[in-house]
Amino acid sequence: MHMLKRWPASLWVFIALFIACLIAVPRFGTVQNFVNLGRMAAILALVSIGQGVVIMVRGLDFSIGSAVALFSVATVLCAPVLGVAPAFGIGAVAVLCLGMLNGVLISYLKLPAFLVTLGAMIGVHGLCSVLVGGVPIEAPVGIDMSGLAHAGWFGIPVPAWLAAVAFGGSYVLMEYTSFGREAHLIGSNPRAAELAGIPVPLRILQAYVLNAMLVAVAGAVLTSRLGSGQPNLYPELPFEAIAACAIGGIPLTGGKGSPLHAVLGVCILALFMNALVLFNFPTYLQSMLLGVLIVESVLVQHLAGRFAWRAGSAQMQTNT
Amino acid sequence: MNTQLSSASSQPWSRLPRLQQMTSLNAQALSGPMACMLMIAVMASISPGFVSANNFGNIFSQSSVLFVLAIGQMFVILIRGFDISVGAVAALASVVAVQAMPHVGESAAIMLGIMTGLLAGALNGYLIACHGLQPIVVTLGTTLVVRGAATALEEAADSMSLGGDGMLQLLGYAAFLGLPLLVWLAAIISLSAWLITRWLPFGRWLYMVGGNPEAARLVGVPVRSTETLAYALCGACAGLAGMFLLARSGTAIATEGAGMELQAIAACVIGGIALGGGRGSVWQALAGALFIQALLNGLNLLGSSPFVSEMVLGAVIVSAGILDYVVRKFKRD
Repeated sequence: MHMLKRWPASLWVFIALFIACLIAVPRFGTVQNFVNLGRMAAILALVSIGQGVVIMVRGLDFSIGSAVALFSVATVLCAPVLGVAPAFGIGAVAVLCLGMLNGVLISYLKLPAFLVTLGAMIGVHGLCSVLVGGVPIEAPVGIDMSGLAHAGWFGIPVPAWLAAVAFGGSYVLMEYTSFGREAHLIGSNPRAAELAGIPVPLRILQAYVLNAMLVAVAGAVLTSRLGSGQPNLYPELPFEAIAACAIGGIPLTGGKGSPLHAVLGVCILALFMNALVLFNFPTYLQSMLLGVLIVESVLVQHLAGRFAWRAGSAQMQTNT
Repeated sequence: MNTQLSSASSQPWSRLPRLQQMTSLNAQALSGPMACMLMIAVMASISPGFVSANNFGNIFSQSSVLFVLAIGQMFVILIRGFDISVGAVAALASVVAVQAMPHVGESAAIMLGIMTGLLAGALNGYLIACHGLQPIVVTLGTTLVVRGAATALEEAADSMSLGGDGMLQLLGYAAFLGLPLLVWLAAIISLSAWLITRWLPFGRWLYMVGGNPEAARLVGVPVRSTETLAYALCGACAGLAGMFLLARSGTAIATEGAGMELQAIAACVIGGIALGGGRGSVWQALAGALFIQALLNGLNLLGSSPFVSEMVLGAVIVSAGILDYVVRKFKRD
């Protein structure tokens, strides 16, 4: 019983949803569908883990949609000159620089994360559009970047492996190292963390850099899949990532949650979206149901939390 | 250290911190209008044709939608929230108004459009204030739902254009004293928003809740109602902005208004309204909106692409934050 309580509630939601999908949704339980699901969820999982780490230290990053666009534009522009692999390197460096800039402004200058990353979101989107003249730019013929996205290993697409590695690494980092413990403390009480001698600004900067690294991987996968540089590559990415964290049970006030929550949120979101597509619902209905899911899940978590708190205090009263 | 000094010293000195606080508060409140004037001066010097009565009329008429959205956003930023659903709500309001117009008449349809916005805002406010949910998650959810509803309504309809010349057409094209009627309407709305924040108890509650919700609750401010009402007002402003969009273009489009919410938040930030809540005024929101529109207009006249202005806008938002940091640091030292 004690072990059961330690599992996040979103795990049970995920299992229930998965079984419901297996029973009710046509063509859900096919291998091809699971491969598709893995492809879709992998990118969201990568960025949501990063977003979760940033949320842990009371931050937020709106700029990741523009960051993956920057990756694709920089890579496609550099590929004919430098070759494919160095071009991906340039893209990664660009995204890391953006993450560093965000992190320094937020941690050392103590600017609101909302404001900084909002500015970065708008500004970097403008920068990408200027670089390619406002229209998507295709990679020249003869340059093949699709290796990363379409390769597989043991029948599982490489992006899914990348997401799994990112999850494992970040889970160990957040749950079993001093960095993770300090990040938890910073999120739940920054003043106490400072008094305890933790280098708070440095840890916050590290969280943003970690996020940027994961976003760079996601950008590489997206660029490889599309083979083109697009300023409007994935503008809703930050909102989907924040929604995934919220659904998984990471409160946006910081200090709570783990990469496991983020990944569970992504799984629920991806499963739900996949089911809507398989049911062949019209796009507007998909959008509406997704919105309802997001609000509903945080509402349920809130109500459940209040219920548990009441039950806990009632138990304490009976005990005394 | 400072407090020790003031408590130990005689009366004239103990007044000093308060005086200091007041002057810095004024400096912060003035930063938006000053940035706006600076932008206009810069544009006037580098962009030919920027300074003309005609062009200023243009800037004002283009910014009327942003004025209304920024004022709505100001209400929720004052109580430490924000609303990213206003663009979608504006689109839904315009679609609803166009659909209802043949059935209920024009003025009732306009009211219905504004009510749609008000209801969407009230729903946001209820979830955020009464259940303590995060504004970003709730308004993101509403954005998806509202955008979906607008698309569904649009697909069900045969015509999304305003027929003939009604009141809305008149609003979009007629002018009074050289300025379009929409601008006058936006001015009236700004004035009433200013009156609300300045003279009504609700206005004072906004600042108290934003400054310190717990303290506000302890002195008897109805915190939840205030927050819900602020979101409802923001939604109503979004509905009104939808009517403005309709008047200007003559058609309702479900995908309209995308990105408007970010511009509205940016306007408040540039105007110097604190994202931490409790500080800011209508004039700052207006100055921020005017700043953005002057920037877009001036760069457009220079012949640069709209993407350059997007870059500049992003840099300006971050610089507004850095400026705030410098002011804070200067104050502390």
